Amino acid sequence: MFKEQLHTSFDSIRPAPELLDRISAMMSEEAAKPKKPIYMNAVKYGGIAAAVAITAGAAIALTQNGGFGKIATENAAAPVTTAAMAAAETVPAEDGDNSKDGLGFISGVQEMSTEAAATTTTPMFAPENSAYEDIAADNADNAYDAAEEAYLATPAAPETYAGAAGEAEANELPDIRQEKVIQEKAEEKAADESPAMIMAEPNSDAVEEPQLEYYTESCDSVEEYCDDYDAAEAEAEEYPALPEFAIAAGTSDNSNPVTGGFDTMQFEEPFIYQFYTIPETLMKTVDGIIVEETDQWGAHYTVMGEKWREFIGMFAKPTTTPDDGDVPPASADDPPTFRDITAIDEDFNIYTFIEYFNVPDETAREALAGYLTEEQINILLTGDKASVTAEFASGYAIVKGRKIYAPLWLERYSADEWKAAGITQKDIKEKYDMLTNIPYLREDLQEALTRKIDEYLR
Amino acid sequence: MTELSLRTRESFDAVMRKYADMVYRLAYARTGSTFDADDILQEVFLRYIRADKTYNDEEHRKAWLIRITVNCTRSFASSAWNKHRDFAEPDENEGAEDPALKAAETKSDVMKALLELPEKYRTAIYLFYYEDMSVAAIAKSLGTTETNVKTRLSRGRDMLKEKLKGAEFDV
Repeated sequence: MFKEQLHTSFDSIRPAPELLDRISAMMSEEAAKPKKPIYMNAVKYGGIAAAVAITAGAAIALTQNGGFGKIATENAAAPVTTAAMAAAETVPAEDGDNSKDGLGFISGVQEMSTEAAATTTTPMFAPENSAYEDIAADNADNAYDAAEEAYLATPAAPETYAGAAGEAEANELPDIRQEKVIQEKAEEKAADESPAMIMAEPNSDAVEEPQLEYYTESCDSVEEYCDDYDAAEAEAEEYPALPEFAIAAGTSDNSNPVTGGFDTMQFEEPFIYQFYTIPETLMKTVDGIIVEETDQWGAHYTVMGEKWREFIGMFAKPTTTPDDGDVPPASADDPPTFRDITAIDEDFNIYTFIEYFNVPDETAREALAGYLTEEQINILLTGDKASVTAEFASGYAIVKGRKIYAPLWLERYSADEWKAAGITQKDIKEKYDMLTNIPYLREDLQEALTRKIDEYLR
Repeated sequence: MTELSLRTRESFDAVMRKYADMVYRLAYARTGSTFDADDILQEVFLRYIRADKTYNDEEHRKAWLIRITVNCTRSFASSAWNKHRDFAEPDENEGAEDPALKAAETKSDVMKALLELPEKYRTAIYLFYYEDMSVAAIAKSLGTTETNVKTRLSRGRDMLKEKLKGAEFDV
C-alpha cells in the first residue's frame, strides 16, 4: 500500500521537457569541449606541486563566496595566495584520469577560477546572476590556456580567514585559526592602497555567513548520531576486525572557503596551507627561479626554472590511489590521493625551500613579512623541526615531535600502526571533536574515520 | 530502447533522458523542492558528461548517477544560503508557483510524510520503495554499509508509521 501510494505520488514529479532540452544542449556543448589535459591540484596530486603566495599589490584574489562558488575581488593591497605548480611531464591515462598516474603527471593546480567556473556555470549556485557565468567562463578559458605550462591556484586570501575570525569573535566562538594578525596587516595595507577593481559583485541575495569549521558540518542531530552509533555497533559485531576503508575517489565535492578552495585540506593535509604555499616574494629571492604573470587578471602565475624543478622534483612521490572498481566517485574532478607526508622535510613548503636554497635569515624574514606573523617567522628560522611542525600543523593533525599525522593518514593506517607511531588514546581524545567533524568531508569517509577512532578509544 | 553505449560521450543524450526522471525524483525527495531539483538535475548531468567515464554496465551507471545526485543535494544543502532553510519542509514560497508540487502535496499524505523524514532516512526509503533497489545496491550508491542502510530503512519505517498513524498504509 505504501509503495503504491509512493509510486502514485512520485510519478507526477518529473522534469519539464524544456529543462531536458536545455540540459541536452548544455551537455552537447560540454562534450564538444576538449578534455582537460591534466589534473591540476597542487596540493592533492602527484607530490611535485608548489604554491606561490603573491603579496604584491593589485593582485586579484578569487575566492568562493560563502559556498556559492562565485568570484569576488579582494582588496588590491591584500596579500593574495596563489598556488603554483612547476612543470613536469605526464602521459594521460587512456581514460583521461591522470590522477592514477602517480608520478607521471604534469604540474599544475586546479585553480579557484576553474572551480568557480564549474559551479557558477550552473544556476544551482548562482541562478540569478548571469555576470558570474560570463566571468566564470572566461576564467575557465584562462585555465585551459595556461594548462600547458603550469597552473596557479588562488586559495582564499588571508583576509577571508580574518573575516571568519572576526565573525567568530563576534559570535564568541573560538578563533582556532588565529588569523587576526593577518587581518590587521591586511587592513593596514588596504588603508594605503586603492580599492580593488570589481570583477564580480557578490550575490546580493546571498546570506553572508562565516565559513568556520564549526559551521560546515553542523547537520548531524543527536538522532542521526544514535543511528550511526547503532549502525557502527551492529557492524562491529558483524565485522570484528575493523575494515580498512578504501577511498573510492574524492573526499568531497564541495568547496571549502576556509581552506581557499582545497576542499578537503583539513582531512588530507597535515599542515596549514600557508606553510606549503611558498610566497612569490620568497621565490624571487632565488636566482634562477622565474615567476611570471600569465594572465591579464594577475591571478595566474607560472613558476619556471631548472632550480625550481629540481627542488620540487625532490618531493615527487607516487600517490596511493586505490582502484575504485565499480564504486562511483564522489566527484569526477576530485580523485583520491594519499602522499603519506608525516614530516616537514618530506614535502615542499616554506621550510624546505629556505633550507634547500640556503636563503639567508634576513632575506627570508623580509620576504615573508606580511605573509607570516613575526612569531611564525621567528619559529621558522630557528630551524627546529619540532617547533616548526607544531607551529604550522593543521588543527586536525596529530603532532608527535617531528612527526605529524593528518586525518587521512589515520584513515589509511591501522590502529596498530597508530600505536607504532606513538599516537596515544589521549592524543586522539584531544582531537576527537575535530576529527569526527571534519568540514566538507564526505559522509561515508567521516563515518569510517569516526568508527575507527571510536574503536581505538575503547 | 536500443542498448545504450557505456561510454559517456557516445550516448549522453539518451542516458540523460533515460535517467532524468530518476535523478529528478531523487533530488526532489532529498530537497523537497522541484526548483532545487531542476538545478540539481542540471548539475548531475554536467558532472556526468565531464566525468566522461566508461561504465561496467547499466547498474554501474545508475549507481554512479545516484551517488552524484546525493552528493549534489548534499552540497546544495550545505551552501550558505540553504543553511537558512529547513529542507525537511518544502519551501513555503514554492507551493503557490509550482503546480507539480502543489499537485503532489494535495495528492498524497505519503509524500508529505516522506518529505518530513530526516534526509538520510528519506533517501533510503525512497530508493528502496520507489526505485526498487536492493539494500546492497543502495549501500553501494550511497557509499555506506548495508548495515547502515538497513538501520536507516528500519528507522525510516518507524517514523513513517508514526506519521501515517490512522492512515491505511502498510509500511
